[in-house]
Amino acid sequence: MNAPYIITRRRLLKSIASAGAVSAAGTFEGLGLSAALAQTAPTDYKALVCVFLFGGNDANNLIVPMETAEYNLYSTGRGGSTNGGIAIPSDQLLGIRPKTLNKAYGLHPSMGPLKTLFDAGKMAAVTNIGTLAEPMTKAEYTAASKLRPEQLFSHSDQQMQWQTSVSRGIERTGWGGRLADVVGPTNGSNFPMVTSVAGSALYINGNTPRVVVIPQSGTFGLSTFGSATDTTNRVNAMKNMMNLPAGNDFVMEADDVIAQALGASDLLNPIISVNTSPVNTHFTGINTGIGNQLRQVAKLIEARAAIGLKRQIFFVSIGGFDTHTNQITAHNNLYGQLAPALKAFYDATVALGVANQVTTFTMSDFGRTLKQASGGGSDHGWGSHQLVIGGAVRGQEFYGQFPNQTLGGPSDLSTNGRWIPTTSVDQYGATLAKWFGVSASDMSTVFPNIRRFSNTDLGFLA
Amino acid sequence: MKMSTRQPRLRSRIAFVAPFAVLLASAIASNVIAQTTPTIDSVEYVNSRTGQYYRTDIVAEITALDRNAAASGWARTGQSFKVWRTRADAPVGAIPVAKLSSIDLSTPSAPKICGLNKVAKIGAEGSAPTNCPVQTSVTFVMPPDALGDCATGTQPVFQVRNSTGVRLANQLDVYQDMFDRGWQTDGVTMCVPGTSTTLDADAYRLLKQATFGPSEAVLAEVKQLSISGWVEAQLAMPVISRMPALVFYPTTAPTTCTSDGVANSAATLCARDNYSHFQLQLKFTQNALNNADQLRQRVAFALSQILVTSGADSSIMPYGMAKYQQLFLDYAFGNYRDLIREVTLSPVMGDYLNMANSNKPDLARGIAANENYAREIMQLFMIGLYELNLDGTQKLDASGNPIPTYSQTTVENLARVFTGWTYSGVGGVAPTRNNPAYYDFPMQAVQSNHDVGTKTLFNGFVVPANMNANAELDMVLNHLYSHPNVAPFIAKQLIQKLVSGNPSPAYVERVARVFNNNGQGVRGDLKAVVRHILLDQEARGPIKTERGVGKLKEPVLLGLAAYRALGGVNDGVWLRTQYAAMGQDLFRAPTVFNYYVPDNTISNGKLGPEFEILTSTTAFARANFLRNLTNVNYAADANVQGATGTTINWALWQALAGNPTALVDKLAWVLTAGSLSTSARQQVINTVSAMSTTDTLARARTAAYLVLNSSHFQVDR
Repeated sequence: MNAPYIITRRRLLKSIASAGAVSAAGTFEGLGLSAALAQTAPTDYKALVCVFLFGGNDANNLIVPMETAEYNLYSTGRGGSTNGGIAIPSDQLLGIRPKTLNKAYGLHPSMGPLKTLFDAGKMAAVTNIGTLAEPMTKAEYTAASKLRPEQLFSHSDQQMQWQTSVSRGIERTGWGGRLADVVGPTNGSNFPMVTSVAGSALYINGNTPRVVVIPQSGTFGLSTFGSATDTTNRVNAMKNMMNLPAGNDFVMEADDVIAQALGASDLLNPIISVNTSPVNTHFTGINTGIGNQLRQVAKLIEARAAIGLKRQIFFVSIGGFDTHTNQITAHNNLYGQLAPALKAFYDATVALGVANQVTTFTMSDFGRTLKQASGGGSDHGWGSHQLVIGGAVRGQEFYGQFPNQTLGGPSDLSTNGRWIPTTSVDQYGATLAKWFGVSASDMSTVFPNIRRFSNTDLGFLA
Repeated sequence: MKMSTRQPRLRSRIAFVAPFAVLLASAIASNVIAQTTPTIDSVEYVNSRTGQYYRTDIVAEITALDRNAAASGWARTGQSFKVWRTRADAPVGAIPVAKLSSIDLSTPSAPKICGLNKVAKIGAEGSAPTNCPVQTSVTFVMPPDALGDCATGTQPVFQVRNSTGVRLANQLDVYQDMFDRGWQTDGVTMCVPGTSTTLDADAYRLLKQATFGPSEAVLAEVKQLSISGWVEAQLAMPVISRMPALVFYPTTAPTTCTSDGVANSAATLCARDNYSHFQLQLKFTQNALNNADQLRQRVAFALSQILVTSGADSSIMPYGMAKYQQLFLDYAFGNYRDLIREVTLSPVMGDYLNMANSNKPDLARGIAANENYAREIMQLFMIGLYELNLDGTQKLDASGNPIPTYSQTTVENLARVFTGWTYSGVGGVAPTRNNPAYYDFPMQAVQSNHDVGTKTLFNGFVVPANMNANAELDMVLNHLYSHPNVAPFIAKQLIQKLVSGNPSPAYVERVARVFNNNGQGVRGDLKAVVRHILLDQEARGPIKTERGVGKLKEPVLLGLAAYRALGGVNDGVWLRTQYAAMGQDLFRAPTVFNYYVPDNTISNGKLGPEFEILTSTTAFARANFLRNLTNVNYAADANVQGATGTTINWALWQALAGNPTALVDKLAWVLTAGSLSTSARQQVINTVSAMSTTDTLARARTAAYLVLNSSHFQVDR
């Protein structure tokens, strides 16, 4: 059953108008949205799942170098493991060994479920990745001879830049949304291609309305009252009211949001309300926000035939990573929620037979200072590590360079352990987008600054 | 009270004959003829077959049009008003208007309109029929004043235009509807005899901006005091609203104050009251529903969403948060500089953004001063990220790029300024070392933990070495406050939270000027700032037809405004629980960036902060909240002192349910004050009319549900 999805005429007109506005938005190099859409219609199903770690995850404690010299630098930089220091004792780390590097590293002690995936070759890490306007060395950073991202270390701006891949200037669309713009027209259905279970986000905003936001639990639709006839009339009246001409932009916007919701609910509510889904067993005992969100995603993937899309992008999130103080306790809790949820989701995709067609990846505002901040935490940094999970991942590997752990060393922009990224968000996104089926000619539409970087496929996806 | 009697049938293609033109006074001076009555009717008709509009004040035409309505298709639109017959009948200063076209009804089924010139002659006929002599008339109206207001005893007439002609409407919703249909709006072009409903509409608009929602009772106050008089009365009103007086409880709850799994046991209730934000959310809701100091509360709520701390940070105790929120009620009409100092030293902010117990850098152990508060006081509370013009737009450098206000180095230096501060000892005792969290008193400094090195801040400002932490704090707050960004940065956000999400730069500049100087040389006087925000020309007027003026009601406001308008009994106990699902868990913002950011844009690029949390999920949450609001009576909770339950008095509305038009008109007035368009209203009327005539309760509830769900209620403008 494939319920028709309603996009109001007005919304389409607005989409066209806003697409025209973007090129004038003063982005770094312009978005080139006029480029011909070179996509061919996909025949298989693929999904990308973005997991955003809000607050700036301190990945220094997610992946720790365990070769003695490097561990000692790490531990010194973090003030040791006692007396308020935030280094993780080496005997608590979960040892892993990326194949190519062939050196000892350790995952955070709460990452057990993901160690299993890493060792099974289903997870990889992209190391020291961050927002970049163009590649730069420490010397170039210090000399300010290359363009820096604007407002480094600011939550709102760095979240925006991770989500837009544009690190200079204001950008109103996210790269997830632009990915949908490019793939959408060939996607087999006009149902929104992007689903967020974590509210609105710049990441998923495109130039065309391809976003639906669903709750992490419960129903997704209007509660009824009165007789069946009255209800039908009332809902029809609401739909009619939402489609009346409106002379005010805010009235129109509010109209559009509810009109789109009403259209999406008819199809999605039965899917997410079902309690007998086989994916549920994988999430037994996982009663966390991130777990509930990923369970919803799994349910939608299970119902992919009914939805009729060949390509889908999902957005989920977990917050609380702004660990200025008490980081050790906070991380145990946060990673303790994240790792089982990601493992359960991967297992659900295996059960659904789509493990190779679903790729899950993390993003976060920024990394954090290696140097501890007063109060047992760390301050806003820059480069960080991200995780990629799925059957298509060339796993048990690190991609990119691992930062030198020396405070004031070659990776540190100053003296507090803020790593200058050696891999950009653009490269990360382009690798995912290529796997998703974005053609080389469309890549600069999604990632306007990608040509600033020589390597556009980091190789972590087969 | 506005009670429209009939709805014009409007078509998408509308033809029109311009019947009136304002004449030069000198041209008609000799036309003044003594008449028997001082005023005559000017009646507008619409033709249901052609969509043409026609307005006349000639009695013979009115009689003919009314008599031949069935055959000709002409029907009154309801936009009828009186005009003065002669200059002598009119007040001093009246201006003449002339009727320039006539109608031929000699063949009623084929009416023809003819005019004095070809411009005015629009219709099926190619040329003026010979049997259609143009009957002109000249009548008199008053011009509106410079602000578009009409004098007492007169009502405004709004003008709309499109390529086919001009319409004159004396009802706001008609004006609104033509605006929605794409006609150009010219505002008030004349004042005619009658009682204005637009003053009421402007008062309603004010109450959307300055209160938690208009009610008939407060509307009466405004009408009695005048708009500026009411604002002054609010500004002069002492603090009435108080946050709950919660007493100290330790961060780790004693077992006597931990939920024991037994509903409503003493321990469970103790935990509810002291370890959740139950009492704060309840008191806020009750204050907002009932207390007279509405403007103070609205401004406090706005400030609390700029200077954000959040109970979602589980370490922050509710008794502390109550004191923190009380700051905004106390300082809503105070000085922003004073408020910033209170906020900076609040132990709740100290906990939330880690200034509390941030010590001077410990080089031996490699510990840096905590940068959190240093960064956010600049980015969010004072100056923002980029240099601003006084009108809130970004300054640009020679290459056209925005200019950052500070660097990471500034943050690191400022972080060292904010070292050495910790929680007070119990009872306000001065601390001697880092104290555990305690929120009954402002933070105090421990000089030995304070970094006494020099610090360089923006614009080359240097804090000298060896300063006392207290003196240094005041010096640096003064420095931050001296930044020219503060006025536009704060003024714009206050406008956004009270009036419109997308204020014009000129509006921001006018308010920023008042922020910089209240007229007596005082900077940061919030009383003067709030006064100007509300009385500015961009805030006032009965209706705003600029595309980009308005804002979505945030969830807290949606709930409060609905209940304040509909009345009934409401103890806030149920309403308190409803904000979170709609995306605004009161006093528990997800981050220091509030529930939504001020620069969030809607799809056409205009600023719409509240839309950041309007998604398909929260849109349903809002609709379903309104479903429960209109359909469920909530009984009193025996475990809340003084609880009365929550019920709307539907009898009031059921009395009107036999007449759907009257019911919907009244609801539309109470909930939207003329901004519900006639087309939207017709949808509601049709739905209610299709329902059983005997189930008046269902009719009333359905009508209210639909009006509340219409974007004309959901958006304030």
